[in-house]
Amino acid sequence: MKFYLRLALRNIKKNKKLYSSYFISTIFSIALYFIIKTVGNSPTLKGQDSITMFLNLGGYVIALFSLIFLFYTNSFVIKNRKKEISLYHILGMEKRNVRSMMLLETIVIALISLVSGIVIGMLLSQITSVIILRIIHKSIHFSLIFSIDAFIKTIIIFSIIFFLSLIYNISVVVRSNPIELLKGQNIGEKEPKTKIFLTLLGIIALSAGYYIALSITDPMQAMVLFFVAVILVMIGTYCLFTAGSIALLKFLKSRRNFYYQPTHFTSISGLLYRMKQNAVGLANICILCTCVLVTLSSTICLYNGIQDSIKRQYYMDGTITVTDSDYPNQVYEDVKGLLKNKKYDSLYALSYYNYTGSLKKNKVHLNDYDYNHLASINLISLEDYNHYFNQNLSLNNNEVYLYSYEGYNNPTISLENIPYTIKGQIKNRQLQANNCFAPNNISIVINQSALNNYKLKSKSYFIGFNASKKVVEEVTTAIIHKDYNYLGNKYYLSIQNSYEDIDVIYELYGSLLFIGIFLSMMFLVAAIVIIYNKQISEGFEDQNKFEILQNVGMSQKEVKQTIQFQVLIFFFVPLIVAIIHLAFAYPLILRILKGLQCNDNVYLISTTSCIAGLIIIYTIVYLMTSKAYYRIVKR
Amino acid sequence: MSLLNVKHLQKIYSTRFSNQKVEALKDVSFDVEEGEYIAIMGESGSGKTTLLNILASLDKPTSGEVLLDGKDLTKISDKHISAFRRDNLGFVFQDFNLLDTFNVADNIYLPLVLSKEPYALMKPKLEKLAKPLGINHLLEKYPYEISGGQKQRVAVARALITHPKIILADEPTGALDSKSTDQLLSIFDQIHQSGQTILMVTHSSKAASYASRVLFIKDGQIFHQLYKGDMSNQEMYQAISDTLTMLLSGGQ
Repeated sequence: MKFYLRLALRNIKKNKKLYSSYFISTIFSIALYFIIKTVGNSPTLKGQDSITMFLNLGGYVIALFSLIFLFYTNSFVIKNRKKEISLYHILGMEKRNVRSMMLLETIVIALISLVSGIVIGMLLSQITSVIILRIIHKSIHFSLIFSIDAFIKTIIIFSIIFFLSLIYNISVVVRSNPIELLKGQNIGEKEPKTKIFLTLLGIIALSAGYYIALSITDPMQAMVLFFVAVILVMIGTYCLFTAGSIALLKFLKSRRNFYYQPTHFTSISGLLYRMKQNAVGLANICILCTCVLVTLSSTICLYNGIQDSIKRQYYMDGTITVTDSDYPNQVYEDVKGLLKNKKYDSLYALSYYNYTGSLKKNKVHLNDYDYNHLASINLISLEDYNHYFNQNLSLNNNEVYLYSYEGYNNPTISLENIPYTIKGQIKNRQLQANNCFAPNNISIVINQSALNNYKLKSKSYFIGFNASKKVVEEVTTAIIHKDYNYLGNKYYLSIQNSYEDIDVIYELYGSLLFIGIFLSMMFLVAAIVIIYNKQISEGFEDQNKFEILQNVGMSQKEVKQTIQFQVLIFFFVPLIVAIIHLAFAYPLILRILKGLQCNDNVYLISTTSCIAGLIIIYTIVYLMTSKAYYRIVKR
Repeated sequence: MSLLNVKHLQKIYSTRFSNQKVEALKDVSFDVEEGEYIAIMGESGSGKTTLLNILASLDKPTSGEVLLDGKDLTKISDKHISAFRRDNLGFVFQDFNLLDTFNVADNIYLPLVLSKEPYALMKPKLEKLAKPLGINHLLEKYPYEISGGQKQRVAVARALITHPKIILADEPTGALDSKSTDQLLSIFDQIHQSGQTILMVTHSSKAASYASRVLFIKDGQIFHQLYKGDMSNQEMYQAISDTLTMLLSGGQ
């Protein structure tokens, strides 16, 4: 046993090059999982439902993704070690012994990975918790304890993954034919054929997907269509990476003056063969990149948009809206009574008609759910306005006063096709009354007699005041617990505590952002490790090829250029295609985000910064990879 | 002046972790005239591969110089060495060194492409070579689809297409069966007849018997040389065998 342990240790040490990227993958996944579990189990977050829910969900995603990802990196290692292991077999080691050697290797690897992953996880969870608190705007002290639950779950899940990998490795080695392995894989492969049908299918699917994505104007109603677009784009991506790439390379090859150039010559012919094995992998990476870009840019945008939407919605600390009641001012009196002897200001009430509708240029339609011109519209009678705000304004029947949060520049406005002149704009936010989720928000003050021309729904009654968090909470709870049967049998009371709501919003969007970043990190690392591994194993396969090329007279410089070109394509083609996908999805995502109160500029900035960040990371890894590749190939 | 002058070549290998030094070449000097066909023979470890690597400018000697057409190979900078090798030397290797990702024609074009020759100039050069080498029906095939003898003829075409000053062949018949060996040797003979200078390193007395001069190398030194003169291949073969026997038995 001791002998096998020594052998196992030596094997891992000797295959440093192969195992280093495997260790990075395992330690990274374990640390990530442990962090998310530890933070999720923190007593500080008890009761913060949305963040714990997101953290749990993120935990599942990471576990599942780790399984696939680590299985892949493992298969890469074993593929390159098959020959070595079968040599033991030929030299007289029994299958039983090979198995126990591999078992010991796996145990050593698992131990190293788990210990370092968990230690790193422990160190980083402290920082992570600080980041989370920052993101969700909590200034409490975060107490992190060593979570036994996280510890056990991490060990169980990753032990299962290591065990499955071991079973796979043993089956690979047992099934392999030693003589074939020793001879090496020098059997030439046929040049791949152009698949015109698949290429065309890819082009059609991709353009159809793009077209649908661009033509959807109402994403909420066209959810099905949206998914069709996503699936079409995915089909297009796979077809074009597998068949389209080969068609393109063959076309380039047929253009003799282009093909017979030192770097093109070797790269094109090399890529033509590589594509056969790598096209699906590249398509996967492309889709991973697209996911990363979409998640990251939209979560960042949403988070950055919070300030905006809070400013728009929560201009009063406490609000109460009463609808369908005949005696709403009783509630007002109650609130006034509750606030007596307390510090407060701007207490006011207002009765008005609230509609969801559309605002297109200067045309307002009530109850019109045109998604692109959605607006929240308040109609206030002049009499009510004068009464509640102690004013003495007057209007003709074809005149209105107007309040708009976004700003309104037209001299006239038509309400259900009846035109009015705007006598003046009222700059009083109190007219906004209800909190409002629509992108446009206007209040129209109009004569009661003019209002009577419309079929009106029943009036709402709004009460708003500013006070400290404690006072607002006291008042709102007291109102909730009051018996308001006398208000009528259909009445509806909605109470809002802005402090609480802002907390909830920060928590919700903050956890979204956190999970977005966390998962993007995982996907990105996976994508990078996959490309790195692919390139390194290709370097080993290409050693011979580059030796021949140098024998025939290729200079070191040209070798370097060829490698850089080849690696460049492998790294950046998926990224570029991902960016193109994002560009076509951009208007659609923007529409969805606008519905969630995000503005264009914020989204543009977050998207471009995500792309820029990704390109920077990619470039660093690209330089590292091409260097490593060159070191392998150099004589 | 002769085409190639090799003067007092010495090559010492020292391993990285010990002070032990191995002297692969002690003091090798010889000249090659233009149009000569030279075979270098010697046992494994005699230093003949080291010598060929230095002639091929793949390796640098510890001391001494190699002049090709008066130009010292050992003094050419790394930056220019590849281009120099491409333009002046042609290589034929034991294991063919053909690339599986290229078809036969592209394999032959390789050195020309690396010298950035336009396609229009490359094509007639290939056509001129393909026929005498008997490979014109193979041009669209891939290396893994053809036999060893055919592969080696493709490799010869690749070596010849740049019109090199000298062809360096490293055990060209080493991986071939006897029929392909005969074919290849007669091709070398033809090339030689047409005026091409050839320097071949070989184990095989038969291959060496085609050469116009044979150099025997032992323990890093030129030990003996044989001129073919008017001898037939048969007689030359006999002479080589005798020399080898003498070499092995250690006598003078």
